[in-house]
Amino acid sequence: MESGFVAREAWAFEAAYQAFKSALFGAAVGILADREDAEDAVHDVLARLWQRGHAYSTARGSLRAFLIACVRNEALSRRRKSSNRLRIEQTIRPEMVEPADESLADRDRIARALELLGEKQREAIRLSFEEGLPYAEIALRLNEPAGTIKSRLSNAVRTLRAHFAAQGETL
Amino acid sequence: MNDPRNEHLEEAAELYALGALPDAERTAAEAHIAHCGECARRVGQAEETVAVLVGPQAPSAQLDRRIHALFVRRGGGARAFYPLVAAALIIALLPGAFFWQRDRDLRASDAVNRQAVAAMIGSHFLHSQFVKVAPDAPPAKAIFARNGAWVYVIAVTDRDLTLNAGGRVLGKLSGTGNERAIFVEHPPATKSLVLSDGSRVLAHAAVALP
Repeated sequence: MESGFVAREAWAFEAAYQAFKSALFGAAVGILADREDAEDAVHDVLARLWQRGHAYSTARGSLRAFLIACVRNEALSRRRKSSNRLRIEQTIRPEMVEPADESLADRDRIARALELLGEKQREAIRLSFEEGLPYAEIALRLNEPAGTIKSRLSNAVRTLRAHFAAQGETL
Repeated sequence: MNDPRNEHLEEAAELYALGALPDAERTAAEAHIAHCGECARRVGQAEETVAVLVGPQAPSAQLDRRIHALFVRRGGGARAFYPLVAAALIIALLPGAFFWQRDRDLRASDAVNRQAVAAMIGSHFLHSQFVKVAPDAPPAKAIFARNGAWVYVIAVTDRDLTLNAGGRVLGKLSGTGNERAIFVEHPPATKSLVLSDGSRVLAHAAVALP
């Protein structure tokens, strides 16, 4: 499937969607908090990658992770461009978005990994991953230099990677 | 002045994976990743870490249909066979799709397609078009694991066909309607697959089955 995706074969794109759709949709809806918008984001990402080409190669890593990153970025871009973002954030009720299909074990595993981070790293990751803020906004929010936040986020991701690798997580 | 495309991303690699870069920096990072294997790998590793944090959630069947329509409508070139593969994917991965389950006649090809899709998702594979030897040979395609573990052949025909390799019969294609397919595990090492109608060779495909 990966080689077909690199060659931009249509069947490989649909196979990739079928294999990873829950993760792709989960990534989008976690940011956009709206199922329709999230489905649009997944659809548009796949259409764009297929029509305009993409930077994926097997040397880069897993296709699943690449596609999740693309969908997250599309969702973040939509959210940032939304002129009524604040209104959405303030009016969306938690019950409007269904909880992720993660098992309790998954949630516990991720929570334990995040506990490995220092408090400042954890807050920076939360603002980036959950709220989708760019590093400059995180710096403003936390009243810290932008360079400090960049380093903090980078170190946090590398700490998590080392932890997941040590635990034998699928990376 | 240094071209920013030549500067390694360093810690911006993790920020890129998180989606924490502003648009201008993101665009510059993408330009660099496109020609820097080292940074592409670092970004890939960070993307895999971020992916672990994502909670899965099932999309609606409507999105399945939109994605399917997207690639069927725009397919071309080697995609003459795409509807068959897409059908296989739908059968295998959406077992609740009522419109397939209502058709009992599809059950034979269903099993073959399920095997093929499971194999495709789990391994690297290549594909090869069958070249017609006889004028009435149907369009057909072979998809095979790069490591030689399996081969899947699909043909657009309602005729009974046999798949051969190295003078050996690998099996008969099964299916209904205008689709015939076969999935063979552990095929013999060969560079050529042959489709025949039992009495004559119809087409052959160049493959690399170690």
